[in-house]
Amino acid sequence: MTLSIDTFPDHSLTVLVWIVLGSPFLAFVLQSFLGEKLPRKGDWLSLSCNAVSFAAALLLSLNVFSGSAEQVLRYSFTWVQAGSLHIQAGYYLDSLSLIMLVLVTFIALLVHLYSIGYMKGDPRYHRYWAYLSLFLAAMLGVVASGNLLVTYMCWELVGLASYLMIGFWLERDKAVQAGKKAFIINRIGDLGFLTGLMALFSLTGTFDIPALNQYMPGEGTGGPGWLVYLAAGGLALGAFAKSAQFPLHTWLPDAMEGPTSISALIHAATMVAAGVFLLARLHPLFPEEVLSVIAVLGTLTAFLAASVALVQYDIKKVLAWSTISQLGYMMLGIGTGSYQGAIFHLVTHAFFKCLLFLAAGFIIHQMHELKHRRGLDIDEQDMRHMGGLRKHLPLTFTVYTLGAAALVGLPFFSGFLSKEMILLEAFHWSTAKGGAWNLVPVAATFTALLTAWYIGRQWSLVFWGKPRTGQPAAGPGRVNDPGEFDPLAWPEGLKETGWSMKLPMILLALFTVFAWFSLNPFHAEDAPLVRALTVTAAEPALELPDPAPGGAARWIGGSLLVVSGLLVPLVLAGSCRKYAGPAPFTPPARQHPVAKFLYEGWYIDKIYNRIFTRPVMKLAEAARFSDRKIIDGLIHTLAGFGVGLSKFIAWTDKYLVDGFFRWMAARVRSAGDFFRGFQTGSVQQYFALAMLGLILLFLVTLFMI
Amino acid sequence: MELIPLEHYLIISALLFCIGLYAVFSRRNAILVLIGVEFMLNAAILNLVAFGGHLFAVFAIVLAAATVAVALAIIMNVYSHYKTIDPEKIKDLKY
Repeated sequence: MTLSIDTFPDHSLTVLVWIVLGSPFLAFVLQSFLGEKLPRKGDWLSLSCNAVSFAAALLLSLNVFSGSAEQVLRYSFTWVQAGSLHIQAGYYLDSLSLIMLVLVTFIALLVHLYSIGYMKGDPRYHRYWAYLSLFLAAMLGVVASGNLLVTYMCWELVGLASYLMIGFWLERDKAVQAGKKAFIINRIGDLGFLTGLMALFSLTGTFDIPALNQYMPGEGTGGPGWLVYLAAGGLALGAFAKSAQFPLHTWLPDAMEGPTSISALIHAATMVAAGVFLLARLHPLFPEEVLSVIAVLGTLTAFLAASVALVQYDIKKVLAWSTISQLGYMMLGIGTGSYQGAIFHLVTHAFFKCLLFLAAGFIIHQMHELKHRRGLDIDEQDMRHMGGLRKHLPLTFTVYTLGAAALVGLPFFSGFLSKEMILLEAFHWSTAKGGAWNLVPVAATFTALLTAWYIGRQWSLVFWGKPRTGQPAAGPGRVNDPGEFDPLAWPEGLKETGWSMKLPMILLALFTVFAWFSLNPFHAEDAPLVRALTVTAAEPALELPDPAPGGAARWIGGSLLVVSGLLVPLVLAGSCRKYAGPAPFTPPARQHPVAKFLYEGWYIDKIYNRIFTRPVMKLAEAARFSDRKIIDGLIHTLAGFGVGLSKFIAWTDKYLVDGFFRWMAARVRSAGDFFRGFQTGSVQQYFALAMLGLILLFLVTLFMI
Repeated sequence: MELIPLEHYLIISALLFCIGLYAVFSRRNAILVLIGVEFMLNAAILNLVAFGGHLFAVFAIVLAAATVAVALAIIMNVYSHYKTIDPEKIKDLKY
């Protein structure tokens, strides 16, 4: 087992860890029970707990990273002890976990702040904060846990929080369905995770993460060798569902039905990163074949998602597909063995994607205001109604530009560093494997060009050109005829207000530049972040290809620079020119079949609908029919028997049992009737009978004596 | 004077009694029923004379007279209530 090193003998670091993990949970509990009654519905409670958590995480990191030796914070207590089964639970914090802790709490804090402005006036405002705190607590649990079972538990809680958040506006049927879809698809992944969990346990006899990471084939409680493949595959499936990779990616675009602040937090920066985190956390366990599959699928997803994002009109859907695409990059990093690159990209992506989402949320917010003030009947998220917004939303324009530049990977931005690292490693990996494997990094590089196109398109559609607000769209791609164009003026007084929304955006924008991550804008090998991750690797330190020696590496590195420095801006310029031209742009009357194919997400949703959803619904109908007709019918028949039996018994009771007594009574009555016949009322008759009796008596006494 | 043989008394009283008995349960007139009762009573008195002497007979005759007076009063009340003195018609005690 790894040693636990506590630099402060008075265990104050332990306290800090529990503060980090416990404050959001405390906020959740308090907010759930008291939220509605608190002043301002408790948003300050959630916010302050988050801030406390963040501060504690920062302190922890500073303490841990100030030392030069490898430091790990560990704590565990016995959770289950049943016979030979011995399960510990607790936290395990190495550099990876600490980086994630700081990242998650920081992003969550900014989203908290943003939500105060964004969710103002919502009728279920108090529940929002409870869910947010629940999510944060669960996510921190995933990150900090030292026991894979606890990780699984928190993993599921995160999925639950996501479901609750997506369907937050539960009056909207689409939101409810989207929440269900997300939860069900995540459940499939959880099945994989559970399978992997069980396989690992039967292989090693433990759930403890550091122990698992040190497992060597042949050790442990034994089991067939293929269990490792099962475990790796299961864990990969879980990660793929959570991080929305092909084939389990379809829930993420639908998840955009939730509030944009949630999309920013969960579905861009943190929850979807949990999958990548899990794979990074357990990377020593993965056999090479599984990693290759992950790399290929990740690249495929990146390409697929980028292609779909090219033709989307909803501002959030573009960003959702972009998230899927960037997660594909992270998976590529994992698959090529460069988990440090993947995590680095995770961090930079968290910042710029969250920024893009918050900015999109702000735009939607303003469009909503516009819609109300002008009484328009438009979809406020549809980019075909936007245009020329840079004049009205200057700050949003600025931060959005910075975020887009980071996403695309322009030099001098953070995204460039992380993406370049992944691509370099991918080329390194594929040239070592040779042959057709080289297609993978090439496809990834091409996807970077697609990224430039779709984000440039979005940037132009929203901010450049002449405004298109006020025109109803009449079909996919069609905005209106030039002759009917009549833009409405931007309402007076609709300015960029709300510091609670602007401040997080500004802070995030600051982190999109390269400086925070590496002093060298073009190469990340000396980045403290990467160094920190490398140092804790159980395997030898990652060999970052040096630009100096090694001809192939140098050539690749240089060409990547060319791509980013030249081709990407060219593509950007091209897309801007196309989409920021004279308004309104008039796409063709009917959607090109390729465009339609891309728009429908390569028809994957439709395929799933046909293969899975419909048969399941049919099965459900059959079950309902069987339940109603057969099972209920059976019960009704049985009940009918019971009723029939009771009716028979009633008849018996009435006619036989009662009948007997009534017959008896009739006998008595007839006897009575007979005897009362003697009462004729005729006195003379009485007298005559009396005389008769007397005579009889006299005769009897005469003959007796 | 020679004594009348006892049997003659008894036979006469028996005959009288039977006549009276017959009258009681076969007449449709309450007064005739009363007459029948008188017959029986007189038959009994005759028996009394035969066995007990004339003194008790005199008492019995007086009682008979009183009885008749009361009985006639009853019959008068019955008539004023039921408007008939046919015993067969007065069946209030019938079940």
